[in-house]
Amino acid sequence: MADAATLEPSHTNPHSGSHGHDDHPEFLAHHFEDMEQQFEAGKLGIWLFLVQEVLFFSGLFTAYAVYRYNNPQVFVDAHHYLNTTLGAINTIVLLASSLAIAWGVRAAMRGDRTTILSTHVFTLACAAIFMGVKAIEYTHKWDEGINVAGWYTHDPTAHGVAHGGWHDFMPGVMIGSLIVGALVIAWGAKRASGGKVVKGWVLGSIGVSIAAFGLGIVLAKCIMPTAAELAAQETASHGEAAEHESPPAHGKPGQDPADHAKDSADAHAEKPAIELAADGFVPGKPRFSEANFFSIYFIMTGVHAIHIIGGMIVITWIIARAAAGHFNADYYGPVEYVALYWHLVDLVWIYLFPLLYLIH
Amino acid sequence: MSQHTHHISSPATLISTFVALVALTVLTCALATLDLGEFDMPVTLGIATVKALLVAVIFMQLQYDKLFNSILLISAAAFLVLFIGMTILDSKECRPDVESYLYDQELSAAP
Repeated sequence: MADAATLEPSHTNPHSGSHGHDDHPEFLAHHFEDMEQQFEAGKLGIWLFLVQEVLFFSGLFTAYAVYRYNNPQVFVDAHHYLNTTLGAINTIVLLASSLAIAWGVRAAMRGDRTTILSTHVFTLACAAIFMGVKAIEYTHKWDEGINVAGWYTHDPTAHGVAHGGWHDFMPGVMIGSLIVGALVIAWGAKRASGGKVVKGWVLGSIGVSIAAFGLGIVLAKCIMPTAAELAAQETASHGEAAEHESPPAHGKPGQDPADHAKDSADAHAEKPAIELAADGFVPGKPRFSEANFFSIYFIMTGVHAIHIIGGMIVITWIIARAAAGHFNADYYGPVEYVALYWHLVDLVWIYLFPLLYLIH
Repeated sequence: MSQHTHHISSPATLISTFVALVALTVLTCALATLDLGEFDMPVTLGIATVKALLVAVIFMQLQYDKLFNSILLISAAAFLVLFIGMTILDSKECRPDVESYLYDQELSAAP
């Protein structure tokens, strides 16, 4: 196992000559017998990591499921503050990024360096657009006082009139990121043409990310209704919500406040049922309010956004290595592992989008 | 990989998967404007699961991958379902006790 023979596999790498490698595959770690074993070990490792990610998110989904099961009406009311169009656009942007990175893996398997680079830069751009749209969604909510429980100061009678300062700040962020992004891209292009290919591509990727973040803000600003439109929309949706209030949502058992009161009364027959209904849990003061819904919303989408940022960092690493010419048909493991992670982030969003934005 | 060749997805497969995913996204948004009553949640989650399967099977290439990797993902999903299911059952079971406890708390706090 540890003798020198295993370090130099008998088969020669057909691509090694063009990249200036010797007969020993450059990226074969010494504890692996051959490239195939290394690839499969890495792949098993990344799948185990993805399993851990699924279980990590399962805690958040469980919190969502339990609170929604017990308080369906709060979820129906609160989701009117979320913009479905922006959510749908973000879904499609992420799906496009998944397509691009799958295409990048295909290119890596074929040893097509140019396509690896272009697809991964496109993926980065999609990720940054996603983050730009998210930035507008978040800051709009913060301006209206919609935040996690404890910082929730939303006044439903204000009808979308913002009292926070983020909306003054965002156009500057938008223009700034477009300009800075363009400058960094230009700098990267200059470095790349000056012979510093890897640094040039990394700078270019960072520039594309910054500029695309600005583009995402532009996109979201175009779609997000203004304060006046929001006010009209909100009154309309509140009217709608009031209409739907009479039937207990979806007719699931035990969701009607009266049912709960009855259950409690059954459990403790010595307590008068009327008193329970009068100052019991739901009718008077809700213990799970819209603020709690937004705690769940911000934590779930926020943790997902952290995964997007992490993905952007590792995709930039892949771009750097692809620019250096590390990948070929015999060695493309890292490209595939990062792509698998990116698909999983997309998968999580596939569930988050309908669960948070499409409630009724 | 000299031992055996790895499957390379064709452009047509990748693009048609993407088109299907976008179409399902549009469909689920359109269905959200209708009131499907008690079928609302199953239909929405069903569409999301079809999308998730498309991504897992085609984009993540589970179709051509070792069966073991699929088993890993399926087991993760199974434990997720178990976790959510058990917690909801538990929550449902304990709800009356929690409410009567909170009721007692309120009574003692504001007699």
